[in-house]
Amino acid sequence: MNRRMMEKALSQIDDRFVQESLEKMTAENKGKSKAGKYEAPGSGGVGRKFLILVLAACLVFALAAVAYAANVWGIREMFRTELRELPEAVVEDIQVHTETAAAEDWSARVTESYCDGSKILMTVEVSGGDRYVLAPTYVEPQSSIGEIGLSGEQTLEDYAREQGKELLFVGASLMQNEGLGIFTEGQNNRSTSPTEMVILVESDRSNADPVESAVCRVYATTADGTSKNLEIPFTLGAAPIQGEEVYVPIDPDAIPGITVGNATVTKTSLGVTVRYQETITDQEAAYSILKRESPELPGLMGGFVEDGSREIILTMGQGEIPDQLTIRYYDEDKAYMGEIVFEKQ
Amino acid sequence: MKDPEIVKLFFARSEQAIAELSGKYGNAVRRVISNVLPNPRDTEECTNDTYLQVWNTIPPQRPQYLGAFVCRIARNLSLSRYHADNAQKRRSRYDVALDELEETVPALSTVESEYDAKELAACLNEFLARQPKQDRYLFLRRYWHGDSVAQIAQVTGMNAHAVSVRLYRVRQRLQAYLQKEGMLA
Repeated sequence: MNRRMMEKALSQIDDRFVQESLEKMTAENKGKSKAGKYEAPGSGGVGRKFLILVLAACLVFALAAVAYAANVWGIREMFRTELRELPEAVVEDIQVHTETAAAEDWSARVTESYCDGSKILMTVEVSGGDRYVLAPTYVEPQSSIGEIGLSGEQTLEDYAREQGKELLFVGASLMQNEGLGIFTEGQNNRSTSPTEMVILVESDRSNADPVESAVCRVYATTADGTSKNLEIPFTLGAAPIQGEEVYVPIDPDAIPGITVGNATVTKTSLGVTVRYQETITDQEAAYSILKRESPELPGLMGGFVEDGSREIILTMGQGEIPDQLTIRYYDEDKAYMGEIVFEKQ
Repeated sequence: MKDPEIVKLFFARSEQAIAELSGKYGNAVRRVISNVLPNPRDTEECTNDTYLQVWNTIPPQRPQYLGAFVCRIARNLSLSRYHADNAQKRRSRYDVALDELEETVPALSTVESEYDAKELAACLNEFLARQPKQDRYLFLRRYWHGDSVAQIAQVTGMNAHAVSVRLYRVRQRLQAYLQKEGMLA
């Protein structure tokens, strides 16, 4: 009794105190064991273990060491920093790149990409050369050096000054074009040294049209606000489609507020993608939908709104294409609202 | 990107809003969730649910403190799932932290209700407002974010024993304060 009540009370702690703690956590960041010692940022323990494994692999496979080291921070490794694991089979469909763009004092290189009808994944390595210390775009010059994987109490600007370098805040994205149809994009960065950073760009596509090329834009801002961009055109290789089916909803109006259209289910090495459209018939009722999930295909469900309808996309569903597809709906309280059952056409 | 700019992106229904939010507060969100739900798959799903709920609530809401807003949603969603899964007898860091706090309030004077939780929350906020900043920070990290004593020690540079002692003293003061306010039987 006390426990639940205390839990409820804690949930109502003033936003200002929570925000205060978040800001202090950001400033504090990665701890301060040995000043100047380099530690991989992000999920530290996993990163360290991974580096140890890489070192061991390099000792065993000495002949392949140079080639392997060049790809240490590829798509799979960047996924692991977020505690996510790619299916083994994806490795066959990952393209290795050498496309590079360079300015006078910094450069970037696309290293790997994966593309199918629902996702484009890309890693890009950025080098600050002799001039820049690289940091992600979401930090400030006054942020802790923990943001780039260093331990200690210095701020980024103090560290850069001490090193005789300037700060450069960098990020990357895919340049939008009609063929790509990107509707959402996220990035994850990892500093591999104070002057080098790897960025994983993960883009969800609104259409499944084949595309052969893309342009990676690496955007950078100096501490005084000057913007610098590099654009790297590169070739995309489409992962083969291993199966595709169309499904019809048995009761398209089973969930209040929406009517559901047919679903297209596609399988690639990355997983199973499900696409269908929800036409909104009652905005208020539709707003109460918080979550959709498929018991047959655990995966990530997202979507985007377009002219009174929602395009719902389940990506990286793990498993085989099922005979019957169920999408369960939950409201804001995680209460079960009902389900749409699809059957193969 | 500054918080108000991210909120603007949500109001413009730009999907970039999620990317910016995730970039800025993703680590904090994942930490809050993983402290309650140790299973990485649960953490991942709950993280996605959090962003979806933020997407569905901004607009109409326009939070003043975006970080607190998103972390609060993350915490509430992860706790809901945690209680739903409680039959599996999982023990998370959050559970251990709440054990400590429960000892501080051995006999709350009222039966559980939303109203009483609000009363207790008001007392907690009043209490926290009077605490030194560092003590408030330690309290929040332990009992709101659910971080372990070892984690807090690592990031603050204190040793684990010092963190434990300091938290113990904060809990003692909280107990005295709740007694004074008539919240304890």
